[in-house]
Amino acid sequence: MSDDDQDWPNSPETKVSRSTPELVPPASSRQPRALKDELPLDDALPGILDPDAEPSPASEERPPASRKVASVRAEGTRGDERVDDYSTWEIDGLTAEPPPTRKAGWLGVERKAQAEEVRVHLSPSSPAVPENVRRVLPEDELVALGSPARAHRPATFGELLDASLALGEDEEG
Amino acid sequence: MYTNAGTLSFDLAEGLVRLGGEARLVVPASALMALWGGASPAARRVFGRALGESIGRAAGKRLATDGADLTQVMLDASPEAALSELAAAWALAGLGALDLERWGRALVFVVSGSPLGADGDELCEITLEGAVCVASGKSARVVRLERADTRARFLVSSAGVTARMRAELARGTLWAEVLAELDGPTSRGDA
Repeated sequence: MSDDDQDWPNSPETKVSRSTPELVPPASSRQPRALKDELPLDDALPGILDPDAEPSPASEERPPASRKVASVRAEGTRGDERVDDYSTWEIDGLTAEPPPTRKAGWLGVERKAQAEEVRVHLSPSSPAVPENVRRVLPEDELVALGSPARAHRPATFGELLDASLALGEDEEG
Repeated sequence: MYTNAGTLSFDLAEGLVRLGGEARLVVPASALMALWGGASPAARRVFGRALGESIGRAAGKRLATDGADLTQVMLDASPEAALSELAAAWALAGLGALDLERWGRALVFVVSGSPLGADGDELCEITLEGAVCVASGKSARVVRLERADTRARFLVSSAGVTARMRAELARGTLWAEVLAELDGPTSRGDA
C-alpha cells in the first residue's frame, strides 16, 4: 500500500488520491441537469412552433428609413426628410403623438414647429415673398410688315452714304 | 478686322506720339481754339480738312487688310463697322464721341462731349468732311444742323443740299422740316 492509497480517518467510504485533488468537480456541477435544458425548443413545444413555417413580412420589424438603428444614428439626424413623419400629421386639428419608442422631447415639439415654419413660407399674404406670374407667348403673330420695301436697310456704309448724297435729286429731276 | 496700323503710340524715350505711323501733337484744346480764332476762313478750312483726312486714313487703315483699297473697304463695310473705326480715330484725336443717325435717307453724325465746345463746331464740321471724303473717296460736304448742350448734329450730303440747308437754317427753318422736304415722297417716313 502506498501513501496515496491510505485510508483517511472519518471517511471510510471515500478513498481518493492525494495527488489528484483538482480533478474532482465541484458538488454543484455534479448535479443532474433538467430535461427542459437539454431538449431543443421545437421538441419541447410540440405542435406550437412549426419549424417549416416562414415568418410573414408583417410580423418582422421593419428597419428605419435611415437604415440605421437608433443607437447609431448621428445626433441631429431625423431620418429621410422625404419621408413624411406621421407625428406631424394633423387630422381634425389634432397632431399625432410621437411613438413611445422615441425619446421624449425629440420629435414631438421640433418637428411640429418645422411644419409651422413651412406654412408661414407658403402663406400668400407674406410681403417678403413675391408672387410671380409667368407669361406665355401668344399664338398669333404680333408684327406684320406693311411693305417689304420699308424694311430695307442699306447693307453697307457706302450705300448709306450714297443715299444721303442723293438727297434732293428727286426735286431737281 | 482690327490691325495695329491705327494704334496711337507714345514713345516717351523719343518724345513722340504716332498714330498709324503718322506723327501727332498733343496740344491743349484752348491753345488750338486760340489759333483757330485768329485764323482766316481759308486757313481754317485747310487746317480742318487736313485734320479730318488724317482721321479718315487712320480709320481706313484700321479697317483694311494688307493691300486692300482703303476706300473700297470702307464703302463695303457695314454701317456699324465703318462707324466704329471712324469713331475710334475721332476719339484718338480727342474730339469727343462720334455716333451715326439716319433721318430718312439722310446720314447724320453726332459729336458728343467735344472739348472744343460750341466754338469748335465749325472745326468739327470741316474735320468730318475731310474724314468722310478720304475714308470713302467720295465728294461730300458737311453742315451743322443743331447743338443741344454737349451734342451737335452734322448732316453729310452733297454741296447743293448742304448749301440749301445753311440757307434754310439762316432763315430759321427747322432742320427736320428741310430734311423731310429733301427726303422726297418716295422714302418719306422711312426710318
